[in-house]
Amino acid sequence: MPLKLNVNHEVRTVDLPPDTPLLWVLRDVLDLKGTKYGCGMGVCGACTVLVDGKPVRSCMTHAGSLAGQEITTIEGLSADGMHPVQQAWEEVDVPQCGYCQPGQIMAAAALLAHNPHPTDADIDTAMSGNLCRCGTYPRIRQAIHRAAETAHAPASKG
Amino acid sequence: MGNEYDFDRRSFLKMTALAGGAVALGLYEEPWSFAQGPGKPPAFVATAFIRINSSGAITLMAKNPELGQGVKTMLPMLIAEELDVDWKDVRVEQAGLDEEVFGPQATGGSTATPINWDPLRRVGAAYRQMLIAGAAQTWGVPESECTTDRGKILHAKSNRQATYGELAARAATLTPPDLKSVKLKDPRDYRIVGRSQRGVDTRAILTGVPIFSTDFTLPGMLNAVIQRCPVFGGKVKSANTDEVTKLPGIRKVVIIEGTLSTDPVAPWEPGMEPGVAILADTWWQAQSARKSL
Repeated sequence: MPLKLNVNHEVRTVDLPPDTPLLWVLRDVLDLKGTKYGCGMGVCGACTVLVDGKPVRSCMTHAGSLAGQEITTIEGLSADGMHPVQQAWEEVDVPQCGYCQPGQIMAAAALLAHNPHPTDADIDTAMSGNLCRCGTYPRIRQAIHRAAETAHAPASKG
Repeated sequence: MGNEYDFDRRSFLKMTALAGGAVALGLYEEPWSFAQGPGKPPAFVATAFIRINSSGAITLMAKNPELGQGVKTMLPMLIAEELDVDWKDVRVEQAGLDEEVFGPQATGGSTATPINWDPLRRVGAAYRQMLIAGAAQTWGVPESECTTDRGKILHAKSNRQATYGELAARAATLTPPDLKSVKLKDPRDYRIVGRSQRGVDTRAILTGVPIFSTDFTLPGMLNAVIQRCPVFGGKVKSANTDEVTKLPGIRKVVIIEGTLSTDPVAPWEPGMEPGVAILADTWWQAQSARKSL
C-alpha cells in the first residue's frame, strides 16, 4: 500500500508495508543516510529524527503511523547546514567518529526549540537517550549552551 | 634527529588497557624496517601523499582509517607542517589501501602517532625539497639560497618568488630525495603541529553526509543478516529456505554449515559459525524475513 510521507518539506510516496520502521524508509528507500542505525531497539538515539518538531527514534517508529506529520532528518534540519546547533557543533568541534552525531544534533535542536536556555541538568535529561561511544558529552553540552546563546530562531519545524 | 631513529629501531611490546578492562598485547612495528624489509619496496612514497595542482590547491592523503581518534586530521597535519603550507589551504583525502606506497595502514594500539611522526614529516619535507629544486632549476640559482613560506618559494637575492602551484608540474618530474636525508623544521617554528585543528570531516558529519561504511552501496548490492543457533555450538539441521525466499525482497537463503578456523594469522579466531543467512535487497527486508525462519 503506498504511503505518503512528508520528509524535509517534500511529500514522498513509498510502497512499503506500513509497519516498516521509518529509519529504513529514510536510509534504504529515500537514500537519506545521515540518520544512523545503532541498536534497532530505541535505546541509543543514533536514529533520532524530528516528527512535528519532537525527537523520535526512527528505528521504532512505523512509517505508516506518520501520515500528515512533518518528518525532519539531519539533511533537512537547515537548507545550508547552518542551523544554530550545527554552527555551534562546528565551532566547538564536537564530533569524533561522528556516527551518533546526527541523532545528537536532532535531539539538541528539539530541546532548544522548547527550552531556549537549558541548564546543564536540562541538557543531561534531554540528551540522556543519545549515547556516544567516543564520549563527546562535555562538548555536546558546551555546544548546546553556545547554540542557546547565538540562536533566536527555534529548531526547524520540518 | 638521531635520537628519533634510535627510538624507531626499538620494537617493543606495549600493554594497552582496553575500554572494557581487558588487556591486550600490541607490537609496535618499526616503520623503517616495515618499509625496507627484505624484498619490500620502500614505503612512504612522498609523491603519493601530496597533490598540488597548477591553481595551488593542495590535497594531502590520510593514510590510516579514521575511527574517531582524529588521525584523518592529525596525519596530514604532519605533512602540511613540513611542506610549509597554510592548513586552511589543505584538502584531505582518504588514501586507498596500499602499504607499499603509504607504509603501515592499520589502526589500533595507539600507534599512529609514534609510527608516523617521523616519516610523514619527512614526506612533507621531501616534497618541499622537490619544489625548491624545481624553482632553483627554473631560476638558475642554488637550492640553498631558496626558502619557502606558506605555499611560496622565495629567492631573496634576486627578489623572485613563485607559488607551489606554479612549480608543481616541474617538481613532479623530479626524483624525490631520500627521506632520511631531508632537513626537518625546528619544533619551535611549528605553525600547525601542536595547535588544535578542527576535524576535517566535522562539517560532513553534522550535515549527515554519508561517510561511514554502513552508508556505502554498490549497484545491485544485497544486504544480509545471519540467524545463529540460539544454543552455543549448535548446528543447522534444516530451514524453511523455500518459504523464506518467497518473502518480499529476498534473493537467497543460505544454510551455513560452519567452518573451523582456517586463519593462518590468527588461528585462535573461530571460523564461520553455523547459521542461516538471508540475502535481500534492503537490510530491513532481510531482518524482517528472519522472523519467518
